[in-house]
Amino acid sequence: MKKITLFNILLILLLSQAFSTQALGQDQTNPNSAKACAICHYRWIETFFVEGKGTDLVEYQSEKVVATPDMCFSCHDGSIKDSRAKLGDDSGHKINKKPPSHMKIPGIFPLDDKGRMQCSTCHTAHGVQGGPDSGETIFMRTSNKNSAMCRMCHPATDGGMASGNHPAGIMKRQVPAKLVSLGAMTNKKENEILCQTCHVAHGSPYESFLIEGAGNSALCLDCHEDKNIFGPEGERRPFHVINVPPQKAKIPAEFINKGAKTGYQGSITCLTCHKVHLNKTQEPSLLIMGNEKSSLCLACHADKDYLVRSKHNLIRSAPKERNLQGKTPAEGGICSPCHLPHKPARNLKGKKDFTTQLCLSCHSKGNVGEKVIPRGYTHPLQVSPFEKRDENPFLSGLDTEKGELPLPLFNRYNVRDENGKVTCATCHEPHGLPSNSPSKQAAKGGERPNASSLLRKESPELCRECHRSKFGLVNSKHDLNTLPPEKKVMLESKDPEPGICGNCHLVHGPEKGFLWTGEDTSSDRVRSRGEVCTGCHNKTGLADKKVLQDYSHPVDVSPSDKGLTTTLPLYDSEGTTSKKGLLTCQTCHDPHRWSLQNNSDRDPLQVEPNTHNRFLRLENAPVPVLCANCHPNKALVEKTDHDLLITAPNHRNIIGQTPAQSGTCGVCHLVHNSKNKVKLWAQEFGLGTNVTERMCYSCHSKNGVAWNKVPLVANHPQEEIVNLSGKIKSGEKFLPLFDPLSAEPVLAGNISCASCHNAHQWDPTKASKGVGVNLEGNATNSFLRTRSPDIMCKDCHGFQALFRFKFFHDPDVRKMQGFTAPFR
Amino acid sequence: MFLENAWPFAKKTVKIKPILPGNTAFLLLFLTVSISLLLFTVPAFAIRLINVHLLFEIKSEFNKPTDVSVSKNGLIYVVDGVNNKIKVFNRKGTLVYDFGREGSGRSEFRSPLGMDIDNKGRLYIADSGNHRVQILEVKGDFIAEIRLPGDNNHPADPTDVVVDNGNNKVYVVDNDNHHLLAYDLATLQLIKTYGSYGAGKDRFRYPFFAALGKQKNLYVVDVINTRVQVVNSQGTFIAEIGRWGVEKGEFFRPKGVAIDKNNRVYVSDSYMGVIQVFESTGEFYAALGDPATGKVRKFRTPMGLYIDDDNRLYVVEALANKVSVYKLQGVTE
Repeated sequence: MKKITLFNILLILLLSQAFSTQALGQDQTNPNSAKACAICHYRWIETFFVEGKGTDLVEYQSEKVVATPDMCFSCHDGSIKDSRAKLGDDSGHKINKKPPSHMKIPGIFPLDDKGRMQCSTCHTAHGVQGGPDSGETIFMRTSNKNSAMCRMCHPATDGGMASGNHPAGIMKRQVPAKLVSLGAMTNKKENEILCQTCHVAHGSPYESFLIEGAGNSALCLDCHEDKNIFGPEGERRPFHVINVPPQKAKIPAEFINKGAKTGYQGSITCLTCHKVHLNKTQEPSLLIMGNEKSSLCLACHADKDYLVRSKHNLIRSAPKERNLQGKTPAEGGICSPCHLPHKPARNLKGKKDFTTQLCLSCHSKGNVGEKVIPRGYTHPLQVSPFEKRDENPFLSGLDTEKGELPLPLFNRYNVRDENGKVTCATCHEPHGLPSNSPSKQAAKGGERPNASSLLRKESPELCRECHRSKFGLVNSKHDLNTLPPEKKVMLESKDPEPGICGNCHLVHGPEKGFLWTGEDTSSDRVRSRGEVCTGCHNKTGLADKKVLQDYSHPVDVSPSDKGLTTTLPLYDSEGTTSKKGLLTCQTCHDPHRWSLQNNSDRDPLQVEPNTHNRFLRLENAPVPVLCANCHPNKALVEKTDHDLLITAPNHRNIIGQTPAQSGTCGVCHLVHNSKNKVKLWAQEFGLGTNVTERMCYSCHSKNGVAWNKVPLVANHPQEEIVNLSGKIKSGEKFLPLFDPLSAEPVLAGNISCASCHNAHQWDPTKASKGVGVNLEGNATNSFLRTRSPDIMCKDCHGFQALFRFKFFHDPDVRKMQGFTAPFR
Repeated sequence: MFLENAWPFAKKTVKIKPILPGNTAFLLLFLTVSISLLLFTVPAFAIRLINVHLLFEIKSEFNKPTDVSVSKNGLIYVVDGVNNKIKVFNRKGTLVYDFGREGSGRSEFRSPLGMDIDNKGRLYIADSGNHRVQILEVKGDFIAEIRLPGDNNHPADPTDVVVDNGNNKVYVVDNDNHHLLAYDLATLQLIKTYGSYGAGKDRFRYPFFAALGKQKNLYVVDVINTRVQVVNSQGTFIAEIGRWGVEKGEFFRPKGVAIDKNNRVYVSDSYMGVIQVFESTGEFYAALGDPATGKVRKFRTPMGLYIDDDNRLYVVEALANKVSVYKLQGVTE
């Protein structure tokens, strides 16, 4: 039995091989009989369909697979037709999914065995004459002319406005070229809208297979460009914003339930208010709800509801006023006098920001709000409170971080934005305030007229939000509320509620420059700089005891003209800070901050003036930081023998200040009210042949504070005129000459103390401060301009230098020659 | 799978040797004949499989990539046509850089499909939607372009380009016009047009990708004719590889082609998802798969192929949005 079995098996194998070879030969002779159909109908390949088997390469195909995505891609991958961009999992009409239950698919569009849509639901190679070589690119099951095929499955989206759908058909305007370039179809007429004008069945990465995204309203605005909030030149139009997330507005859930759509990051889009398909509201413009009495507006802008009770409710305050649509407030709704969603409601003029233009469209002559017209200059608009903060560390007016500022700033959309800028609506809430707001309460009492100006806060709290650091003047001498009664009567503020800010500044209607309330004494000239200070600091002013007299530090000069640089604020002719501006009182003084020290627990009015207060921007003792900001080379005097804080702390200057009171620099130089013009000298001059010597002899004399540092012979023979041009050897440090009267540098003159000595620097080789110890000097330091061996005498006198030095610096010899040392 | 079934059976024949001890001579003769027949019949029932070892896969936000090429210094260039980019990877498959964007300007593309690299490292991109071949530096800087003529009915549709440095020629496959164009590599002037629409010799129906063999013959995938046509540098028909069907040696949707060091021809079939290997004379040699399991290796929409000097096979799998890199086993020069 086993023998037979084995033999039979071997025989079968032999016969099978012979049959197999024969079969192969037959296949080779007739290989393509079914190719024309099976090239798409994979199932119909003979091996599967006739022989009923798979092969070495592929498994048996029992189900029909024509027009599956993979089959379509096998030709549309570029090898026959390139539809790669249109075929993908998410970029085309849904496949491999069942149609929604409410949708009735006509029988002409077959679903697969599982009731799912496939490519073959819409496409067939047999619907139109075609094939790979026919030139046809889309094999639809039926004609889609005028979107007929789309409408067969989607009848509810047909019928135009009457059916709650975006209109289709012939339009007045052509479909924009941009849309056409994106693939919008127009059915040969450039002004005909089809389904495929906005939708594409394949290759869309956007929602609802749109040819362009609607999440940023782009598709809508391509046709409805007149609704765009920005014009062709980029100008902001007074339309409802789109493409920004709502800030205070809240899109009601009811809207979303009705089909309202938001865009990227929840932004407002056209489709937030308009539902372009299956809209059942019967409202014009396919609105998601009616807008009678501005109800649509107020549905999102519930926070504007206070408008009803405010004087900006024109239904009450100006019922006959008409907007540009010709509608009264009652006819158009409470929002309509100022706002129309896609049109200007009022005539807007000027180039200011949209909000300002809108405010002025009423609050201007001849218009409904002319009773309240801002005159003159006004608080800056379209500026960021933060933009200059880092520019100059001395102007830290705003110490609030971005995002923490309670007052709103507005961006180019006129939407609240922490990076935005100041507009009228930063301080004013034109839509009214809650009845429990402090402003509202104050207005009710009639005690605070400003409170009725729809201000978001009362002044000065309103000012404080941005200008917090300015409130360092509270209870200082610049707090005019602290004036004694006899002085207060001198105040003639134009602000009915001046408060702490309003005594000096007017937000609306001041003279230009610092929003100053005072009268402008100059006719056409811009108020600037020191004039603001001298408005009070004059003999008849409020600060008549702090009046500039005699000689003071120069103002209205450019430090750069003197070769100086500074980080202190300089001011231009408009009174605003400028790196190229001039030095003013405010360069050194911050009129809003009495003291640099944190002594808030003390009454500033009781604090003795010192080098840390006096409204100085920087301290000036024990380190002369303020002076050093412009005069760093002079500040090297600190902690040298010439720093009297170290060497003579009890010495006083001519106004009686000790070094601790005047600061290091103030010992020798009075910034204000010096009796001496030359160098604002703060000491009594000594005797001498020129002013430079006299300044030195102020101290270096028998009765001076430096009585123990008096040279036996200090002056150079006066007969000899020296003309060294000041820069013979090592630049300006080398033997400068000074005018005997003004002490200003000159090119020709006589040698004086300062020709050899730099009173501000101890060691000529080290541009550094002193060490704080009274040192005994030598020929290499001692405030010499250069080390003795390197100079000075020998440059002019050559080999005679030593002889001359010894001869003329011997008091007795000098005496024989008729010279006397005046200080001896 | 037949191989797997056949050899165990052969082993069984050896085991039955003691059953017929008395007639040893007859039995030996019978067994010899049987085994010979079995050995002879194995190819008729089974399929030879060439093993490949997967080295790594490159996935780089592709959108239906189509072709791949490798430079002499080992950089891997992938045509990411829907994104209109050429993406460049190092030998480990790490993205090094990419270039290109949609447009018709220099170094811009519209749905590029195929590419090649010459021996100087210059890139030749079949910029299909712009009806041209762009020649670019390694980082995409523009060098030159070849504007293809097309014909009266169809603008040119270049789907692949092959550089023949030895013959100083550039071959361009014009898919929609069913022919090949040969250009002078130095002057970029058109030398000759090969082929026309049809199913016979020297005829094409939608030629797609192409590769150059060791003898400088051109292997052109002729998609609708379901074959690979071999033509010499003069455009003369040499041979055809494969035919319509789903059996071994047959194609349903042939797409990519590459030649190994043994001058064997690798052809991808995007619908069947297999890669078959042919002798240069056209005989079926094997399919890629695992001899141990007898399973043919399946790919997801395999298209462009490339075999580099290190016997690495690069397979672009379009709908899988990846390029798979394999080590070919047992391929020696």
